[in-house]
Amino acid sequence: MTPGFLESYFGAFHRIEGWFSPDAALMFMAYNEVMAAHGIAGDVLEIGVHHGLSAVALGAMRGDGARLLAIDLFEQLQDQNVPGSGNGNHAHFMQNMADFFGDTAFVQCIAAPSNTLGPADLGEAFSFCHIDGGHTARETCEDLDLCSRILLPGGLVALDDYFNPAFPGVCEGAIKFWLGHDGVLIPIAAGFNKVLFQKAPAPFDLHQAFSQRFPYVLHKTTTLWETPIRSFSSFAAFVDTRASSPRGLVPNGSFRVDAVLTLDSAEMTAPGGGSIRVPVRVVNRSTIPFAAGISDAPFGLSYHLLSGDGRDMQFNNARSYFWQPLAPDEERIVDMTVDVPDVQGDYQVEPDIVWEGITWLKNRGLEAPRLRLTVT
Amino acid sequence: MDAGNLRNCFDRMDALQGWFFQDAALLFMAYSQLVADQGVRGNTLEIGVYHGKSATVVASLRAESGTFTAIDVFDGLHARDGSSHAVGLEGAFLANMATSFPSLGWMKLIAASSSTVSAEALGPQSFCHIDGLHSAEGTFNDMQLCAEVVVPGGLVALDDYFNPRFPGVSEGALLFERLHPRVLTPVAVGFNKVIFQRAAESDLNQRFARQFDFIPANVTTMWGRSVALFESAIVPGVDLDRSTPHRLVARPGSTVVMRAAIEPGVAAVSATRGQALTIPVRVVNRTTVDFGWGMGLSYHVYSSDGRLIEFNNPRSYFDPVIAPGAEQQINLGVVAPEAEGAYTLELDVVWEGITWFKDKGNPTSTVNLTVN
Repeated sequence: MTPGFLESYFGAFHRIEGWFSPDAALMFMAYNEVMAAHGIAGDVLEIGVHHGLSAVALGAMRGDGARLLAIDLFEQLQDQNVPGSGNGNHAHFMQNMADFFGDTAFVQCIAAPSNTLGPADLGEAFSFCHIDGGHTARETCEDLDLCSRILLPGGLVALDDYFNPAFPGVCEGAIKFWLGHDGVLIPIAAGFNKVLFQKAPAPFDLHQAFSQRFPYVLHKTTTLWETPIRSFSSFAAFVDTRASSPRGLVPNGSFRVDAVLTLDSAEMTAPGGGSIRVPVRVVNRSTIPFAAGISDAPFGLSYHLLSGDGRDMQFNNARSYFWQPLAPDEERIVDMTVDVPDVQGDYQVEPDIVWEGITWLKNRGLEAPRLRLTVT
Repeated sequence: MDAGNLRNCFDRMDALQGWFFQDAALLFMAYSQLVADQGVRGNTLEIGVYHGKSATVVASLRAESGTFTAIDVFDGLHARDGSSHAVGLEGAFLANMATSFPSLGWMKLIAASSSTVSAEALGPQSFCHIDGLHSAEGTFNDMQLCAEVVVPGGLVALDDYFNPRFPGVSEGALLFERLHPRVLTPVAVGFNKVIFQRAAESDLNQRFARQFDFIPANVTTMWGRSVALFESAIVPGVDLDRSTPHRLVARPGSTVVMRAAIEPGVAAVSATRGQALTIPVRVVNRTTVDFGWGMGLSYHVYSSDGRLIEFNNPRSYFDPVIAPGAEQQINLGVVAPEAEGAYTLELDVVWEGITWFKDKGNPTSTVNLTVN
């Protein structure tokens, strides 16, 4: 797998039908890379391949000499597609695999409901599984059970649509599995409509190994199944896709998240208790857009409240989100809503850009001018 | 929120901090109206009121003689932020409620964790909104408390069930269902809320479809039951000037003519592969409804020879709302294709879950894109 593969793969997302993103592919590949570095590299499996958009990524993540197993109802069994969560097509799938891999001898297609299959049919040497098949609670639980039995210890399983309100059954099935098989699968990461789990026992500390290998990928932390996990809202921004391959991601050396904030006025006076709007000129000096319309980690303009002599009073305050994206090097006047304290006196208001759950730009070196606010 | 039409109420609500949108408010009102028609309207309750944004709505759902109870740790949350700011959340909440209602004699304030509040202290409720602790344990406890106090046929709304930032919410709710099966039955999903009904009537969503045929809804399955799924905006179908929190009225001539003028500020742009850029576009609302939540500007990508490459692309949502006849300069966010070449971007307005304006005969505009 050479550099250039990822560029051509991501370039094909426009023509291959499916619900998958380059960010999700890179998250899969990053964790797979960590696993491979610790000797966990075997067969890969996808349940619900549709036209192969995500299966191409999985095929590229398989171990040397290993297989990609593709389980789908394909066109001949669609009458069994209970929730209507995809519509596999064998010819399209194989053509897309051939376009990227040429020789597709490593691909084994199984046209069957996944709940009719077991380790005897599939083997037990899988390092990565992706569940994107039936989206009912029963199907999800059964697919997690199947994957937990065929994965190598420490292997990973990715589950689609856990947080999709159109398919509540996925979350229900996953939690049913958790409650019935506590400790079998350990949640690891979430992002881009996927949740990653690791089969226990984990042979090494995956979070620590990930941090060592990908310190440049920003994330936040949340809790799933009473376990801390990493939550990603951007991956492609941190990776140089031209220089990377599916088994070796290279950091995007030019990645930068920064801004220039300026105020028209350095001083304002307002009565206590209400709110005022302060226009702030925002210049995006990042390599990514400031946006809020798609991500669960939106960018917004906010501020920190300080006392008149500069002591911190309230770090978290109201946000003005970038519902319309601000592209790199573009600028815009944004109205910052400031809640005026009830108590009379002098205050300072320090504008800042927040990337929700990930960072404040102040913490990455942003220096913004402060507004002196006098409350009467 | 008691006095005046919904437009005025929403104007006041939108000025408040918090994560609560007009569509969620209308969803609450619509289902509350349905159960009220069956005689279920009494006291209402909110756990986690913050600045009162959703509390103004939940309070307005109470019966004329009913109470509204607000439970929040207020300054405890404040302290958690590590702040010593002189303005406590309780003060902000009370001020905002006082702005929204002429009097607050019907309001009960409990400044404590909901885990310390007993069902007896609350009494019977017809509508509860849970937006407190988002942990599994906190959600479980709040579901349990609300299940105890909500009357048969009453409603419980839960925030953030599908929010990936708070996985504990769905875990707590499902643990509740596991220990108390079918006590609360999901009936609707939408706008970051799930609405449950105690002792659910079998035809609530059929009544919804009959009563609110101007509100588009899909269907999905949750907890083994068919529920209504709201994926597109409700606001454009509601006459905000004639509606009240207790009675929603459809916008006259509910067949909305999908018309907008889309005028890009440039005829052509160039970009590198995969580059994010913005294109200035003037959008004029030629319909009779607001361009609001769930509506935005997007584009379709064609090759230079007119072949469709990608129909669905990122949206730039209309914020603030564009009123009928008004216009707005939009910065349309565009991500250039990964392959070099010449492309045509066809600019279009999308109403999420309902339609693209192009499909309703609205003229589109194009911008040429060269990817180097």
